[in-house]
Amino acid sequence: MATIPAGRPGSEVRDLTGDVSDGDDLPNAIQDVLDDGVQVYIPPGEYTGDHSDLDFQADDATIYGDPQGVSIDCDMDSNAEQGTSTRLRIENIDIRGIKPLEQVKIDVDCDGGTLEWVNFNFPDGTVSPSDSYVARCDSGEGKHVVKNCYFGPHGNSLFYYSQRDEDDMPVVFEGNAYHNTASAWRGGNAVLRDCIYLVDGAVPDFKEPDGDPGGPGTPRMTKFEGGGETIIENCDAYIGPNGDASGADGPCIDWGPDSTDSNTVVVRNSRFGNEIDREIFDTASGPTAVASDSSLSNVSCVTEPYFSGDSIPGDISNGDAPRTDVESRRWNPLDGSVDPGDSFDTETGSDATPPSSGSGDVWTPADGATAPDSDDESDASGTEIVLTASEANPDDDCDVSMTVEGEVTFGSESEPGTDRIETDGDGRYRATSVSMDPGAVDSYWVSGPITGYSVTQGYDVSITADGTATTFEALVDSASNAGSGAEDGSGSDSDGSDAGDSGASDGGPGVGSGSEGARLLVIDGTSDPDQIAKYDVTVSGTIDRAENHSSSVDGQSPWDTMTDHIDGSRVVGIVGNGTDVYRISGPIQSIDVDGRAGIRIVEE
Amino acid sequence: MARDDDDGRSGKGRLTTRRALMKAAGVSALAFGAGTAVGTAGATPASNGQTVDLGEEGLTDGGSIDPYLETHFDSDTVVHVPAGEYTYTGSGLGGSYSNAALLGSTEGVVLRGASDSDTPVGPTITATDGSVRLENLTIKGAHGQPNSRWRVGADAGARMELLNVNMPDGAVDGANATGIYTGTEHAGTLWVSHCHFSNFGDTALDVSDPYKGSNGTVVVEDCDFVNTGTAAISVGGDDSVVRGCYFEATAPVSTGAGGQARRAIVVDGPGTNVEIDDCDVDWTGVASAPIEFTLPSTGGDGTISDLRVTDPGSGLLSAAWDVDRTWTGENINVTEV
Repeated sequence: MATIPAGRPGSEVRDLTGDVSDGDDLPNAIQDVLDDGVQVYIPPGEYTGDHSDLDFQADDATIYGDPQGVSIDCDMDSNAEQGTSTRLRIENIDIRGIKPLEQVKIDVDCDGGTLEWVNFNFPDGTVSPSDSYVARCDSGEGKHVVKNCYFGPHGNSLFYYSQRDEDDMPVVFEGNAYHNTASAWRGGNAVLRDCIYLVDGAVPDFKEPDGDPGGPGTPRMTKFEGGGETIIENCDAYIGPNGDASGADGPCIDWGPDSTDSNTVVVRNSRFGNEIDREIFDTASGPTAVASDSSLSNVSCVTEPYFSGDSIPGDISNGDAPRTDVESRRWNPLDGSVDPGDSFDTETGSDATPPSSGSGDVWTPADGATAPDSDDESDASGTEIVLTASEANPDDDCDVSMTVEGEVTFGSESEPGTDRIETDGDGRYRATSVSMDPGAVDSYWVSGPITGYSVTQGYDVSITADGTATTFEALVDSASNAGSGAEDGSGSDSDGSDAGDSGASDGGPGVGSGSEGARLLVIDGTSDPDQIAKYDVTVSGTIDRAENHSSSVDGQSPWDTMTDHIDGSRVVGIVGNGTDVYRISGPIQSIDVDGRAGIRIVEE
Repeated sequence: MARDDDDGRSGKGRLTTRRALMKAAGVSALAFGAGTAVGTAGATPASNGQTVDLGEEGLTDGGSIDPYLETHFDSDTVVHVPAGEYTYTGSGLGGSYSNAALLGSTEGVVLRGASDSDTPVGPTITATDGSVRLENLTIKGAHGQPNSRWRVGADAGARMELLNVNMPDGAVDGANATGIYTGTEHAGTLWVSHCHFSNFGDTALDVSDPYKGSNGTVVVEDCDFVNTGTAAISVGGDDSVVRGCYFEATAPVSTGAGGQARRAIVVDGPGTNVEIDDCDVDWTGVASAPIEFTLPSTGGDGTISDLRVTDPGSGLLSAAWDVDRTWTGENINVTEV
């Protein structure tokens, strides 16, 4: 059954299962069904065909061989041409057969699109001598991606791209293996990433059919020509002591006679070795400027000399040996690797946020960490309260507390190390978000009614309950109307411990409508005789001054003689070294205290 | 300190979160003494049961902890382990418990396995009611060829918690050994938090199998997976969460995975509502996509959000099916190096 992983171009699958079998002409079978927008699936098998019929040109299309193995035993008759104006991907196909003396290649000519070769392999190489390439690009624009491919011994360059306009046609080589071949790359403006070049035997000789007698094929990973910088990263090139039976030698990295000043190279995190008495970098063969304009970073060379001419600046050492395990990449399907589809909002390139680095810590002790909020959504009970500090707040001096008649646990947006949850042991909890930055978000799960709250004065904090916008006042009012917590009124602020915490408020227990008789709201400033506290209290019913209960300790504080302002259900006042007492009805809707004052509600 | 609401990305980074836990630990410890902090309520699963300090029972640094665990680790019991390094050969922890905890000292507790890696050390621990917690323990000694994985799980309604339980030594070369495993019978909640795994060739935290059976919840938070193999985490059940974790593949690991590609997260079951959130992935040392959706995961759904990856251009996903039909991704950042 055809299975083509996601992320490949095309959508209409054309399954060749049943249409082709071992020995059949596969290239022609592909040509019969290949079209724009299709995905051609090739079942596992060993097929035949002509090289010239590898002439695949389509837009938004994939030719996908089954990862179990698809090969074409090719008659290397003549050239083919491939290209696309959007995207064409050829994946999981071995092109078998030895190329002849005459040039047999794939001419790549894109019209703005990307040609992708993935596990598209040419393992058998050429006769010796030979003039054959794998591919040549002289014109067109777009991109050629060559990934997870394997290339055997060729007498001429594998990719002869030095005649193209390099700016219009960048090339990316990634995860490839090159074995006993002449130049793997001839050109510029390319990236070689995670590629391994190994010469541990004969490289076929090179010869133009009608040209000079030719000569030994030159082992080298790159031959820069035609302009454009090449980036080599996490690559390995090793030319062993038996690197060429014909006696040719070559550097790992080379510049050709047609190289230009722009044929610079950036080499990072790569390893090289050359056991045939040649340098790693043949800087003598390139223009004078390329060495100084190139760079090395974390490059290991296990043999010397490093350079034949000028040194390339950078970090070079005799460290790690180059990797040589090219055969592990002989058949290297991507195992379903896909590009994220449109459903994945992905940022790449310089705009992408890089990951944080690891801490290196194995031991991250904890003592009493609470269970996470994370399984939360399925396990957490109660109401999710989300607090959001206004972006307009001036700074992070914004603390928010809420008192709950029931358990409170941290939500996903809180930070347990800083934010606090406390309990009085009688089932009453207080959650405090500390130092909320402008725009900061905290969340809690509350399993009971919210009976009080405080927000630092001068700061705006919005609140949602299970995703619905609300206010603390509304929540407290709701709790009061539900008759919750009609106890002694000893809220946690009653001792005035919130000194300096302007704007403290606490609906507090005992304000429920279920209380019997008149209730007195006591605002007690006696704990700090030298300071005053301003208060602003609103109830849903009425407020009246209880003058007979109000007092001043020594009668000398001018503040206690001032007339506090009462407007029906609201009082705004100041208390000094005394107590202001009011008869109230209805639940308290808000209390805002600026200064140090205790708040109590008692029955008269 | 609350976090900033910056487009959904956590203002408190992953590492900050780990540090925050330590900070929280201090707060909780102080508050515990005062008897007022809520944190302590969650920290002592058996707060109504008995407490045993193995130091007071005679356990000393360098000794074997096995007999002490056999004697004291039980349901409705909180067992405290003093700082030190102890040998542990696999006895005394395995079993089914309700409301139990093995709490190592925050100063450091090492349980060292047998010097012979072929001696398996892998208890099976099940929470049957309430919560069972293992906390502040570093398991030393590479897992050998015999299955030394720690098997954990919880019955329905119960909770298994692993907090700062670390396996830094991984497995020996050639051992097809995992670190922690959860089986199909897991029906409750498994919480794995602030743990560290390293050098496993096979899966370090293999918690995907519950989807085949009781489909319990798995929550993995704020853990580090440094140079692991086939998968750092394998998840697959409904409502699975991987959050705030760090994954790194920058160096070779134990060769126990049969040459398979190395992944950070493998979604290996068709769980629904799976969440992968706020994770950092340094995948610069291997040429494989860090996240894989296997064929068994076909049809599941979930979200990848606030993910930050650095890799050598190997792609973000490896998928055996068309995952973008049911999975979504938000704020995924891929940096190629």
